[in-house]
Amino acid sequence: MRLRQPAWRILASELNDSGFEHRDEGEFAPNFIITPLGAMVNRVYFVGTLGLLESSGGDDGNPFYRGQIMDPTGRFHISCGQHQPEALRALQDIEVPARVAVVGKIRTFTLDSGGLRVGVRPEIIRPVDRDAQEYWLFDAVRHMRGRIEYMDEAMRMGEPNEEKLLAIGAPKRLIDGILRSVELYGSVDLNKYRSQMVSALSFILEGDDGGDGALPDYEPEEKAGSETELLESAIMDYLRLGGSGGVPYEDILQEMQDKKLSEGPDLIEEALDELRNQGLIYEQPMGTFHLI
Amino acid sequence: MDDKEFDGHVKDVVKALKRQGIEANEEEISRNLGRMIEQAGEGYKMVANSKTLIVKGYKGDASYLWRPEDRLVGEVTLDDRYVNVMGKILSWNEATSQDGRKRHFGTLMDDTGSISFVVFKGMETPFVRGDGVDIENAQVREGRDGKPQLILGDRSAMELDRLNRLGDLELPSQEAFSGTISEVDRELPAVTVRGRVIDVSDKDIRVRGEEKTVSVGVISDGTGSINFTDWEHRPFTIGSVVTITDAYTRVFMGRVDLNISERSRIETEEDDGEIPALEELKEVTSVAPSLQKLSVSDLNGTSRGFSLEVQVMDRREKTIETRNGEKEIVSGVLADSTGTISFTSWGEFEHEEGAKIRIVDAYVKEFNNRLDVNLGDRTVIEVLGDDAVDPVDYEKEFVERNLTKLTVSELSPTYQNVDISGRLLTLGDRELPGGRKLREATLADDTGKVQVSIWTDADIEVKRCYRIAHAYVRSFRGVPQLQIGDRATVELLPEDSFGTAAFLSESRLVEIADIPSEGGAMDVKLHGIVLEVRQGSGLVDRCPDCQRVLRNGACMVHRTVEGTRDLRTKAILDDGTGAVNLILNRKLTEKVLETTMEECERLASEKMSREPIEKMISDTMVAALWEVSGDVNSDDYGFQMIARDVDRVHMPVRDKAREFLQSLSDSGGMN
Repeated sequence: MRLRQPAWRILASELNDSGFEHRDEGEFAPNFIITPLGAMVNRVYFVGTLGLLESSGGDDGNPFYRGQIMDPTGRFHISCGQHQPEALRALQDIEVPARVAVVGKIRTFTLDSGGLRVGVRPEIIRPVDRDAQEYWLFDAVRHMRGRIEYMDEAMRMGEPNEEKLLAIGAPKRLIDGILRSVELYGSVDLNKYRSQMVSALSFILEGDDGGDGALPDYEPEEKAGSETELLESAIMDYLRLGGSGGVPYEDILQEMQDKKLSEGPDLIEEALDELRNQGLIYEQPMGTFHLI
Repeated sequence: MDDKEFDGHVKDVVKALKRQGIEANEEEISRNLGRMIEQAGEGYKMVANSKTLIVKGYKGDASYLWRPEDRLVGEVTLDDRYVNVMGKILSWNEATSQDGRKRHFGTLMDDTGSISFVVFKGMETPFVRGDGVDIENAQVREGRDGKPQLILGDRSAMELDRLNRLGDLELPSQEAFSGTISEVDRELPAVTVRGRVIDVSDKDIRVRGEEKTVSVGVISDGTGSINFTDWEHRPFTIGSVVTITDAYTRVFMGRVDLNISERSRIETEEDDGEIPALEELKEVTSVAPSLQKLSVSDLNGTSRGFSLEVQVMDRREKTIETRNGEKEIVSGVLADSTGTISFTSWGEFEHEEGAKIRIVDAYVKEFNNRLDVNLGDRTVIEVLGDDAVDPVDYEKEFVERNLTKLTVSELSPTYQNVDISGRLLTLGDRELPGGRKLREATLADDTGKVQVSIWTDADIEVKRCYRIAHAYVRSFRGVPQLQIGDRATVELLPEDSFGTAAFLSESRLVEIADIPSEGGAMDVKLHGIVLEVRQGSGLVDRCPDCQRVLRNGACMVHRTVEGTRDLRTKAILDDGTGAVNLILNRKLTEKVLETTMEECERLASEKMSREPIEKMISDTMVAALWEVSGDVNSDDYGFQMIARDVDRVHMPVRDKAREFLQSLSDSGGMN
């Protein structure tokens, strides 16, 4: 019997910091990402503000959405296509910005730099009220505190193992992940996550002031990030104009510079890599880009 | 990376593409490769990956990149991907892999050195030692010893060197090695050793699907001992002194084994007393871990590398979850005259109950205060004669030794001999259809409740505390049930051993991860979020005969019937540690919706659709926190709870958050 994978309550920052994946042997074995705090995550549940939603494709009847959902520590990246019909229908009805709850499976993309980019394929997405968000945050922090404590202990142990972790009261369900995390990440900066617990709890308490459950006013916090988003969508638009012959790299570079979206090739290449990793474009031959 | 090296990489890519008929602009490749190397790094692997990516970008086959380099044997390094080499075969062996495919392996040498090779493709004519060969396009990988090794796959070739260019090269003599047993510490193609046989027995093995009997044993010369296998099954006498000529050694799992083959010679010699006597050698070898002969009662949690003569008393196959997925193992019980012990075999174990065997090189693990003999990769099992072992009274011993002390929440059908304590909350009589009578009870401890079937006339009363030993567990409708049978003993405990009946009757709040996946749990409380309300929730029609939900107005069994209206909810409840399929009946669905089924029917007929009812349930339940109670049962599809009660949990999150913040700053973890 294979139990349904639990939906981890996990803050965006911890999820996005994950650098490793794991897949058990076997045909239908689920794959996991291993977070720095030792969560082995296949499915997540989170609540946040959907601040950015863009649709691409569409002409061929295969809509595809990408979006960002913010929590007090960072942003979840979601992407959703025809294989997630329920979430797709829900997204078509949602007006940005909106407070939403998402249940989804982890998707990963390996960047050319060797890093891991963590995204979420929503199974379910729906608008929720502030109560749901506060409860989720509280739950996520509660679980996170446990992981921080056990990671702290595990990193102090000379050679952490299952027995020692059980002895300090670590729940069985966390042990495998903690051991893997210590092995893979070595030393983890726990204070970073401790201060994120404070941010998350403070966010809940801010609700006391407003009281009316108004949407939190989140700006995407990384400026570079939003530039990249703009750039990516501009490139997609430009490629759409290019037709079946594809568009040479030099033209893209020129166009983006003309539009003042980028001064040099660095950001553009990053954006192209990103789009390629997401399976939105391909390069054939080298230097000529097409929409998929 | 200097320009010359970089240009080399660019040329590699251009050539690889050209060989496949793909024309590419060298400048373009240079630009892209430069960009990728700058991003990915200059490491060998990074560069190789970048080159592969570029070739693939042109829809090419990356294997064309790795044009073999001409190398002398001694020049091959781990940096090479594909090489052409020429050499003389120093050894040539054949092995059959688990899927029945033959492969060859051996060692190749020339004036500059030697290298091992493995041939994965079929070979029409086997080569023999001394053949000069040309190897083309062999892949280089790291061998188990950390040295480069040649892999000959489908695209590789190995041919006799007709020019015999290495004709003058002399191979090291096969009789080269002769020394004391302690000096035989590596793989050698030809060995001569002299020693006293201190143990020997027959072993039945399968070689390429055929049964074969070989002799296995140990010889020792006072400096050390070595395990041997005589593939020709020649007779050995324990205590005799022999010289074995032209055998070879293999290193397997860190242990050197002596292989005596067809071409080896065994001479029994006069015992000149030069080699220590048998008893003395046994003494010495018993220090060498692989030979220590122990009895079951000698074993402790740190025993390893011993041999054990036992009878298999019980065996069963089971599938367990490991880090690497599911694995078939065999476990059971072994016994000799000194006691019984459980065992786990991680590989094949073909010996049936009753078989008498010698287990060589096993280790003991301690788990839950219980010893378990583990048979691993290096364990060898030999079949013994019928009169070899005289086991103790297994039934009695086993029952005492393998008793597992558990709490109620830990119960699952995996446990067949349980020691458990608690208070009896209920007790009643029941008659089975065949007329057989039993008593049924509920037992509770601080962790939960379990249904108990009592098949004996054990003296028990409701509300009292008991310790029950040697009970077993059955799964009934996916929930564990404790069974008190003939073997079980029941002992009255002091009244204050457990909380009051009223306290214990409360459902326990549990995390889903703590429910045994093969067990389920009786009467528990869960706190979780509803993630999803499933299709088929809301108003349904049921077959009046079998209560199945009708589909398109028809029952799967009773065809078209006049359905009975019902209201229900199927949902997924998840607490962050696990999930259950939650089922709410009409009463509980009405409670959740704060309305009646009649009201729902009215709404559905008004809207001409039942969908709004399903949506109403989903809008009410999803993303909210619920407390549900009932039995959790497990089946092939996971956990299911048919709820006895459901309530919305209104948690004062802000108060809790404030407390939490306070506790964080109190614990000083924020420095």
